[in-house]
Amino acid sequence: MLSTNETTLDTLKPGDKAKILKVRVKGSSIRRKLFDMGIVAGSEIQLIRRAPLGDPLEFKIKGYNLSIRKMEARDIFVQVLE
Amino acid sequence: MLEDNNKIKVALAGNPNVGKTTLFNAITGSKQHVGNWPGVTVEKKSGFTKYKGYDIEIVDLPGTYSLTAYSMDEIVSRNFIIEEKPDMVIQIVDASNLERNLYLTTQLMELETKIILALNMCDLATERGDKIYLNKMEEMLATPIVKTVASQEKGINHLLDKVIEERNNDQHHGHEIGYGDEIEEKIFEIEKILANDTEITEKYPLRWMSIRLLEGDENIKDKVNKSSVASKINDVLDSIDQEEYEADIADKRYSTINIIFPQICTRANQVLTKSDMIDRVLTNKYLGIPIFLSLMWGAFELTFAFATPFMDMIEIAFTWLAGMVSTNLQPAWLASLVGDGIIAGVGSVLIFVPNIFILFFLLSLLEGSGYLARAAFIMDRLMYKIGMHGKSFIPMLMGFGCNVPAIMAARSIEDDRDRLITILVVPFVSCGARLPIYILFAGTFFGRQAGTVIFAMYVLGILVAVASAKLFRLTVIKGKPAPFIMELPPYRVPKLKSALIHMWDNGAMYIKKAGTIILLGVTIIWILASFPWGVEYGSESSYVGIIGHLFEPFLRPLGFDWRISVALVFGFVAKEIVVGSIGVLFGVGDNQEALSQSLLADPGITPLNSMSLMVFSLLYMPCVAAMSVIKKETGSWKWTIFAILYGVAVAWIMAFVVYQGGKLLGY
Amino acid sequence: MVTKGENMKMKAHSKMLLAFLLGCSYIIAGTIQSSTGIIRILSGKPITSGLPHIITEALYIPHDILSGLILILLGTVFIYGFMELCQGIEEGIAYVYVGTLLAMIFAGIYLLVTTGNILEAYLLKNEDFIGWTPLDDLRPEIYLGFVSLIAYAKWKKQFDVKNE
Ligand SMILES: Nc1nc2c(ncn2[C@@H]2O[C@H](COP(=O)(O)OP(=O)(O)O)[C@@H](O)[C@H]2O)c(=O)[nH]1
Ligand SMILES: [Mg+2]
Repeated sequence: MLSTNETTLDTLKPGDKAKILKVRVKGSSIRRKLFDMGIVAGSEIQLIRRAPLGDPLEFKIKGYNLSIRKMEARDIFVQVLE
Repeated sequence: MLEDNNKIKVALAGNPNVGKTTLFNAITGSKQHVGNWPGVTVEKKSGFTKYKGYDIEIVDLPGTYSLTAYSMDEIVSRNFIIEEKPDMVIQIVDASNLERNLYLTTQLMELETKIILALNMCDLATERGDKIYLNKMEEMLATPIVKTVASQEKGINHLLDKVIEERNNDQHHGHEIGYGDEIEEKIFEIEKILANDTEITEKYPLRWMSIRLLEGDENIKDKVNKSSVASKINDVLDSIDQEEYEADIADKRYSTINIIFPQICTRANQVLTKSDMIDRVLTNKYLGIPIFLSLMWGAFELTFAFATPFMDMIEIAFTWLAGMVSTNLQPAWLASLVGDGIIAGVGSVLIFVPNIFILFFLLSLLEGSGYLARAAFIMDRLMYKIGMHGKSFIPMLMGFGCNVPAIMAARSIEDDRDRLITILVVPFVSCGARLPIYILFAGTFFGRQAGTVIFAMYVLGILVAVASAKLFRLTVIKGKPAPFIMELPPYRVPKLKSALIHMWDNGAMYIKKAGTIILLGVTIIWILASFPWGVEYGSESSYVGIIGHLFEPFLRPLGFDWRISVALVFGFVAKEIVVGSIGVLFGVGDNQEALSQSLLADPGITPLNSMSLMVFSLLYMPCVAAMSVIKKETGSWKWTIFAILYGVAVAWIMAFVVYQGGKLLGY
Repeated sequence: MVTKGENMKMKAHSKMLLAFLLGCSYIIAGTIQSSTGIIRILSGKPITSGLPHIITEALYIPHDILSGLILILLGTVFIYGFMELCQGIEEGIAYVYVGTLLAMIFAGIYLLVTTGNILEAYLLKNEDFIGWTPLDDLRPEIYLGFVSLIAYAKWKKQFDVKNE
């Protein structure tokens, strides 16, 4: 059962905080890069803003700012925190 | 023996933007050597310093977040540590961003090398109110730690003291991470198999290699596949769920950090940092793009307006030199070689040195301030649509100034294919040297419409670059742009010293590289223009004239006669020679006014011819200097020749369409 | 404590005022600069008489579309900050801060351009620069930039990181 506040990273609104559940991005080197940057299950992540043209997205994770395209964010499952 | 005893080889590692370059510059001062790592276009910097009787060699490794094999940078870094076995590695750690920085530390530790942590940016951490418990941190990580503020050159001596102390300390520190029973069992199993291969045992830390194999590191797999234990290893690897292990291992590293972190650091509660404040404005939905464009415009304004007096000085110097030579040097042919050939040719290229220096200086300021990453962030959407990466935008933009630094700036793009595409399309961006050609022809033939025609040339250049990028993505360089997984570093006040060093390194590289090839190019052109013996320089009966005639049938459909063909051949050396050689060939020399008149009077040159000529000049190979940096940056003759042929082909086709189309329409 | 709070409020007010005044000045100067630039291009000759001439002479405003647009943009950044501050959004101060930074950057750019021209005129004695004086290069980017510099110097501390 999907709980109601379980979603993917690209659907967050600016300011939303979430906890990463699962990284399902295809391609092992991209996945590993995401891991290296701190996108691992259990990490807390916050959407800061979208780029002026709507993509990529800027997140705050582990105390720094990281940018990812929507395409990869779509495959990262998160639980929105209140 | 004694000599050996006071040599220390240190590698600098660290995440990007932690102050590695600043620290490197602070330690080594001007005693630096910049080159490339063998076989790849990753910059290698090394430098020396003498300290308390020791000769310390410092190698600046590329900035990386990790030592997996995501990019060439990471492979280069870890190969250096494993294969060249430096005495120790200094990892520069950003004190204001400990968690992510420690991730690299965990990986360095597995490489079983001595590590010193330089806790940099301490000023920022203190200012923010963070507290870092140094003793606790040293104890938990089991590594020596030194506080530094690289930008104020603080803590450098303390760091060097530590280097010497560690050098004379045989005790091995290092605190490796445990990955939990299940993974540890597998690590142990693989380690045991690897131990049977003496070559691997000698060269690599076995535990590290086992972990890398479990993480599915292709680069390491290749190495193992060539060894005697390949099949056994593959049996083990086939039995596990690779994806699961990969995630678990990264997870474990971060969770270890999560356990350590709260014990060594209490972070002040951040409301809004200065950097966040700046970012709110500079990446604002509506203001972000206009501000970006206006800053770029300002950079160009500065590049050109400020460079002009220096360009004039260079021109004056070379004119004087050429004059000296032609009046004083005997015999006449030598005076002509040196004056018309070498000095004129080299001068025509060196004249861009001020531009290139300023462009690199500004680029370095942009990078040091953290804005470069935002530029990529802002433009990525647009660039992605045309099959390129956000990071390609700045190099393309620099191309309007001069293609040479633009091609060199493509280095900041990690993905090889993204970089290659950028390098291949930059030459279509109309650089400053092409402008005189447009001014002459548009000014002569299009009167009040001249501005529009010139603008159209710039637009055409951009369109061809974009279309080519798309075409390459569909054919020779298939695939999608690399993912945009990028840190947006905090804004900082850039360091003047770093910018000056960066400017000097790259400017000098241009002079050296371009210089030699240009010398060769201009000498060849001079020989062609002066022989057979006794002909007038560059006249119809010289080899150049003959080549012009040879090319004429090929260029006839574009509306060019032999004289234009000759000028275009000269243009291979540098575009700014084109106007000058047309002047010579029409027998009016340097006088623009007279040249305009004789072009207008010449029945062979109509507005349509000149349009076709401008299109051709825009698109065919920019100059020898650009070609030589393409060779240098791609490291491949194949792609260099491809770039030349593709450029000429596109130029021919477009000029053909313009000329023949125009004729059909009755112009 | 009360006095300190009052003090803060007053400073916020003075920043709002600055943002508003600078915003308006930049937008007005930019509009004049761009529109005279358009007139110049449409008419195909330099503007040498009439009201536009008098105004631009008095305020040292060149006739140039592009740089005028940038002035308008700088003004917009200040006004953006002013409006957010008016709505009680404290982060609006970011726009004032970045606005002053950008203003100083562009002032710096034009001062360097002037330095280049000085070299041309007095060192190289370029013919194109006969009769040129550094005052000819004075423009709104430069003098308005100085206002920003003063504001920046005065408020430097308050733009710094805030902790709670
Ligand atoms: N405040 C502060 N800034 C620093 C320090 N070290 C470096 N910087 C700044 O950080 C930025 C990035 O530094 P750089 O050496 O280029 O980082 P690299 O990417 O690791 O080589 C530059 O603007 C430096 O001036 C430091 O200790 N304190
Ligand atoms: Mg660096």
